Amino acid sequence: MPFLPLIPLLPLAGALACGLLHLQVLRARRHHADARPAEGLIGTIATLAVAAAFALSLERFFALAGSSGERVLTWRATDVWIPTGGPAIPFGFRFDALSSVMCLVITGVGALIHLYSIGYMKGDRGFARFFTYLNLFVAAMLVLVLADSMPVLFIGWEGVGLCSYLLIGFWYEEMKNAEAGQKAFVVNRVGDFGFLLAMFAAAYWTGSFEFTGVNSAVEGGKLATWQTTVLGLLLFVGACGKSAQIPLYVWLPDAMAGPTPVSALIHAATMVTAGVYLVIRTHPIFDVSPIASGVVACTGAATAIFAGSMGLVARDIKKVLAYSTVSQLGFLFLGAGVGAYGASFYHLVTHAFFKALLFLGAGSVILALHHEQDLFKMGGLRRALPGSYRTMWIGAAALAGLPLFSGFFSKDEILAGVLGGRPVFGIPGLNWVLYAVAAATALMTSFYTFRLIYLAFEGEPRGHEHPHPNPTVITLPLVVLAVASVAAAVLGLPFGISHALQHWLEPVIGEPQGHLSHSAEILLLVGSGVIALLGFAIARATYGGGLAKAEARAAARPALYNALSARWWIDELYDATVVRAVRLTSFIAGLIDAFVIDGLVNGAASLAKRGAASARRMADGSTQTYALWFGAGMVVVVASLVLLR
Amino acid sequence: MSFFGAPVFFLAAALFALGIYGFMTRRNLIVVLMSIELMLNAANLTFLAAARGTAQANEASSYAVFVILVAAAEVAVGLALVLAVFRLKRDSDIDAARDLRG
Amino acid sequence: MDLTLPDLLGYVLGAVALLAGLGVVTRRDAVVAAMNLVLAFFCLSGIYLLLGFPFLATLQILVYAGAIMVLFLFVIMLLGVTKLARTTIGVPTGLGAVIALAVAAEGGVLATHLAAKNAAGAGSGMTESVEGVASLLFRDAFVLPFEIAGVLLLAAMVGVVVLARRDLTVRGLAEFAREHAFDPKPLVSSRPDAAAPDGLGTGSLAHADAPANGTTKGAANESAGHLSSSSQGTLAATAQPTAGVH
Repeated sequence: MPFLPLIPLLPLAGALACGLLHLQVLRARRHHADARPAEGLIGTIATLAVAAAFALSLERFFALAGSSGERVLTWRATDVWIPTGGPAIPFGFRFDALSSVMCLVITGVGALIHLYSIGYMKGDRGFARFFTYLNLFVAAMLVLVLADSMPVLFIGWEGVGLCSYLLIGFWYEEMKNAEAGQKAFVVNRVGDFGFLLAMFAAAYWTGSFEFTGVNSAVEGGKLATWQTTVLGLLLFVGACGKSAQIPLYVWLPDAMAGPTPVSALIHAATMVTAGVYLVIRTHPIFDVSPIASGVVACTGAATAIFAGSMGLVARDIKKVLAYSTVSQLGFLFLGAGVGAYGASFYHLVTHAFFKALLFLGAGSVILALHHEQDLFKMGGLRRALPGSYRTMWIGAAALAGLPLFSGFFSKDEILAGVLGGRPVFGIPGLNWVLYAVAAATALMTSFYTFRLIYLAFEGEPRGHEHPHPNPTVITLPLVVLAVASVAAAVLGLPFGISHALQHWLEPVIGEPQGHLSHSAEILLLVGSGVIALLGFAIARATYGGGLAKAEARAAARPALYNALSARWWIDELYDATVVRAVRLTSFIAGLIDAFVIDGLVNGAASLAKRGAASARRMADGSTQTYALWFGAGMVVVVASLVLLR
Repeated sequence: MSFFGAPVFFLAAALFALGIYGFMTRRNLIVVLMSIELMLNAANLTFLAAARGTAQANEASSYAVFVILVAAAEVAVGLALVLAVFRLKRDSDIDAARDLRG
Repeated sequence: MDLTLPDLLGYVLGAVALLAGLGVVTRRDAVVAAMNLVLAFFCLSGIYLLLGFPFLATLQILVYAGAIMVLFLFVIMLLGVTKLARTTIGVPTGLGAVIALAVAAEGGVLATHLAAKNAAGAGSGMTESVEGVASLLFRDAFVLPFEIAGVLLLAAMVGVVVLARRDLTVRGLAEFAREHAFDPKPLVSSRPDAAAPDGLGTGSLAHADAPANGTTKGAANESAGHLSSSSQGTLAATAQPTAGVH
């Protein structure tokens, strides 16, 4: 029987191998400044490591599907990994309905993105370093989803944060990239703080670090409502940081500084969904606390529409997708907040496919245009890059929710969940407000997605006449992901045609709450389709006629356009408030550090230095001086032994 | 007063102290090694004197054998070091080997 | 106070051993010191015999007075340094004496304890038997330590062979380092003019003097490294500049 920990261990081994190869390259560079890494070998190792993890996950998945009863495979290294005064912290993995699908998505999409990266990173000096980080990320992410207790999840949680930081700042020679990495790291620390507090609070109140222990304690009603609310809110703070929700979303758009495969893997498909995963994993807490779940739902909805509006005017192709990601993550939280965990997770999976596809497609365009990311300088790529065009069109259709694409069904299920789910904050009317917000967001989503397609692929070329075609390693993952983006629909078709994912997840998330009537479902489905098509039509009308026309329209509404372009001046607001406050604090802390702490440290150091200066006279190189001290010491020791008995 | 009561231990202590004195004050490396031998012998004497007439006589003997064995190894290596120092510095003074001063 | 013959013999042997030990640490001539040590060993062997340890007494004479002392004398003769200008250095004799006396005092205190304990514990009348020692060493309690001691001896032997190699000079060490993939540059400079007279002791003395005067210690050391070839004739040249800068 394959060993469960092997799933994260394989990518970890890959990271190790690539890291060693990178060291070898560094060594070779001491003699030949432009020594090249063995790209074929490194790429193969890294990709195979993740592909093998995928195969293993698949095998375990079927083993799980074939098992009866509770449907969970567990592995326990030790029950007492870290002994504490209270409950001991165990170390173990839990492969259940939820983590199995996550594993499949992470390793499946991950393997494709690794394959793609071989083409994308070709000729990069840090080729081996890149795959080291990427493999390490996959390993950390797998630890995150497989963890059966919060501390183990925290390892993965911090691991992915570290890899995210390393990969955002991958091209660290440019200050901008390094700063973006730092921003992501610092903002994530805020979320981590919340998660840590949640972990400690959960262990303190429920007496367990394990998810099963915490969940059963909460379900058993052992905690007061205020306790679950605090716990839920703290967990959500953690989730906010990782999943880029208001107010901690600011790092994600900047994170696009990293190489595009990184954006696809970490900042679209996997890591940023960790927050949603955490909420679903600890869903009993949110089930019993209307305040916590209400905050989740409202924050999700607000983030969705807010980020969506920013995506409307972004010029950078990756920024459009980044805002779209933030917006879709908002959708996921909205679904989770109203208790539609199945729908939320369904959208998480489909989103992983089509957003990864869109990012990779964008990467192929960027690569073909020699690292041009400005949409206004693209155009007319339809003929030059037919593969990218077709696959990205499918991805866009899925994201926009055009009927019959996977995004259509998953998004619709969330919308239906909002109406049919539990009342937000216990107020039924609020669900309608949130539905309206979500519908408006869906419209925006459809618009900016096709805006991207039109600006990049239609019309006349603006600036780049001769893009160079993409190799097969780049187009192949696009095709696979495009197929997946369509086929993922079968995981959850409406009217009970297929509730595969929902049924699969039931051991973890329980029965779906609240049902809409068939007629209501049809109505919603039609509504979703109309909204998506409407957005498509507006985008076509605006950008189908060329860029000049579209700019004229934007000029007619300068206030709105400027506000959107400046991203609602949120970064400026942060600068004026949070950053300034932190700067002041750090200035004061700096003074204390310079005079008090450093004074102590320097004092200690100079004491040691002066002491050493006199002590070194003892070590004059003469063996017998040493013998003298040795003998004197012996006299003292023996004297103390003799006299003290 | 029987020699095999306290006096034999005093003799061992005195020999050990002589060894220490020689070890710390003599400048010829070879004599320093001899002083060490003196100390080891003092230790051996204590072992044997303390085990005299007790049931552990054989154990004491075995320990003494080990001490002699270690002494032999130590002398061999020590004298080889003296040779090496002499070859490098043309001197068997302990002074010659003080390059490791702090 | 009644003295038996063994007691009397013990006192005599002990006194001689003490005097001989004093001779070891005070005689200026290394050969005389060594002979004093032999005398001390013999006396101790006699005391062992009186204590009832005939096997150890034999071993003491065989190994110590025989093998080890021969090694000492061999090295003394080989190096030809019997007389020394001064007996002591570094640590003043007085300081050493103070510490030695302190150790002796402590040893005395411990000795009275031991003697008291011994007086209480003795009485089984057991004496050493060669069979007993042999069975302890080869069969019972000390088999493993004994084997390990064998390994220790082997290691010491290998170490001695390496240390006693003829080419253990500065240059020899540099070559050794190069053979074993160290970077020998800090030890041996790569100056082209100094590289030529390798092994020509007389011709290279001039080179040795030149950098030693007024140049840095490092340069002098480097040139010294160059000049000391594996041939014995250049040993003096090696020592000269090195000593000059210290």
